[in-house]
Amino acid sequence: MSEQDHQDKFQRLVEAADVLIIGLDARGRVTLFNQKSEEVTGYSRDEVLGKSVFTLLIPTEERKEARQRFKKLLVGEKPKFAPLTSWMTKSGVQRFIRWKTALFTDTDGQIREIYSLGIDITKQREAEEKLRKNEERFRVLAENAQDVIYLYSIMPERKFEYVSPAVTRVTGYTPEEFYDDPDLVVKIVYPEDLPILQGALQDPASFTGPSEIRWIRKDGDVIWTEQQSSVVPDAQRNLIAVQGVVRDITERKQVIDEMERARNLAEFLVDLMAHDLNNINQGIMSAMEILQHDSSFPEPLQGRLNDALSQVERSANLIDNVKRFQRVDIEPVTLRRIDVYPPLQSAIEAVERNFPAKSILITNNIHERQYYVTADQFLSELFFNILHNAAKYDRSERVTIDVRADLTSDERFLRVNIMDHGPGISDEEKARIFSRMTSRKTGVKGSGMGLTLVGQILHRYGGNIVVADRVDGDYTQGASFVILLPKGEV
Amino acid sequence: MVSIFIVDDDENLHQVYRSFFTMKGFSVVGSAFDGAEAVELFITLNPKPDILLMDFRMPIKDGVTATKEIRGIDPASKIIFLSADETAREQALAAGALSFLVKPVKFVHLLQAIDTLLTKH
Repeated sequence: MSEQDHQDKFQRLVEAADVLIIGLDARGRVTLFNQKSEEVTGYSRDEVLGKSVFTLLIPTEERKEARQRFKKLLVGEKPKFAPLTSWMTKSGVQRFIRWKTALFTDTDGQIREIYSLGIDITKQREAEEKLRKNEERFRVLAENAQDVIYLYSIMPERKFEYVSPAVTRVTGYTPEEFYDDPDLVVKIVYPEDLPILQGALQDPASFTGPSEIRWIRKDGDVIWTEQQSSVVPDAQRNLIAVQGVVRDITERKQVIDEMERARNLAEFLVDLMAHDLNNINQGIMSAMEILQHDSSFPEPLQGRLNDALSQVERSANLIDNVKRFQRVDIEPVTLRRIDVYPPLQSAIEAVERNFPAKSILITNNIHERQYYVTADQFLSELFFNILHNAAKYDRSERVTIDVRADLTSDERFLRVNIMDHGPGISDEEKARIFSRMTSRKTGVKGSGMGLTLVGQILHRYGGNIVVADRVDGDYTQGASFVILLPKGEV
Repeated sequence: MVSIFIVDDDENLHQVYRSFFTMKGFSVVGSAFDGAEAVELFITLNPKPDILLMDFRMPIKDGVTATKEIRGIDPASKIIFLSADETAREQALAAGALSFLVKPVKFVHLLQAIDTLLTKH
């Protein structure tokens, strides 16, 4: 084979190679620049041949170091690892190339040419950089998280691979103490909760849901934690670790306990009031009724006796309302589609019964099975309280109340308007009447608990209530209570 | 004359009930201050009272238990429950009480309940 044949074969091989192949002379000028090199850099061979690789392709800030490396090559110093250089493409984009270099010397041993094979590892570098940044981000997150983040290895040995610094705030122990003693986690568990943790360590796969475990802090305080963990399998699906998050929920637990205590106390007080006070009311009422029936009781004092009796009834009604209030507060919310007519009718009849001395006329335009809303058993209570107030505060002997219902324009709500002819509600009072506590503080009188109860019931339904004047601009003509009830979906 | 048996742990109520029924011409044939005493006394009463007024919350034995036992002794006994605890209504009726009134009860309503039991049952 002739020299020319060799040259041709070498040239074809160089051009076909999927790696960058360049040749440099002893001054760093480009003597060979294959097709792959053209593709990567965007330069044509003609633009590069004879030019200094340092000035044309290597970024300014790396030139000095690249030249030094090149000089060392020329004096026979082999690099310890394949050098990585970055090249600037014709369009100004930086590419990272990993090089393998071969030196060719002439007969007197002088280096004549340097050939380098390069692999463009730009994509790999970018992926590595992205991964590094992600890891950094997660590390910062984990290091700064309020919750404890951990990775606990099960196989080949039990130990903490990672515990975030928050563990010190939560338990009083440092991450290093957990790394040094893999059993520390078991040692500090509250004795009653030890079976939960032991179960988790024996069968981590079953310990995936959130569970509450108490720990004893280094300072001896008992804390509540919530654990959320997941298992880590290896490629063969063997369980090798458990990772998770531990949250200190001591404060939340304390608040729940406080609420529970407050609720129990409230229930106890309501029960005490309902039972014991009504027994006392029974005694007073019965004694006064005996006096009423006693023919020797002075006639002129009968009026005072009746007043006293009505006060006892008022007290009994108040207790009754407190019980209802509590019931609305504690009963679970289970809403359903309800025909408005029966509860409204039952409330109307109850109000009519409650005022035997008055003539009560309640008109309404609602028919049976005409309007359905999303509500529950307290709907009648809601209507009763508004109607009862309307009848109660209307001082005339003939009380007229009008109930009108229609759907809102978007058909999402049933609007029930209850209009009375009572003394009305001033603008100042309108804003306050649905809050018993606010009324107490600001001194608005007469609202009792009924309307607060109404607000509470509507809150269950996602409804609303507003109070307006029956006659616009003149509140003394009576009030108009507009109730919005979510329409019942079929 | 209608005979009444009063069961309640409140002594004051015994006095006012007794005064009222006496005034109305009823005869109070028995008084008990807890459920156990009520059952014991009921066994000894002969003839049995026309009406028993039964409280719910009482020491030793509550009104529901006493009602069950008394109805076991005499299924025809007519017991009106009088309680400030409305939650006892279902239990009381299930135990055999024929009427349940929530304290405070007006005498007019109590008399109506007695009249209903005596005429309809």
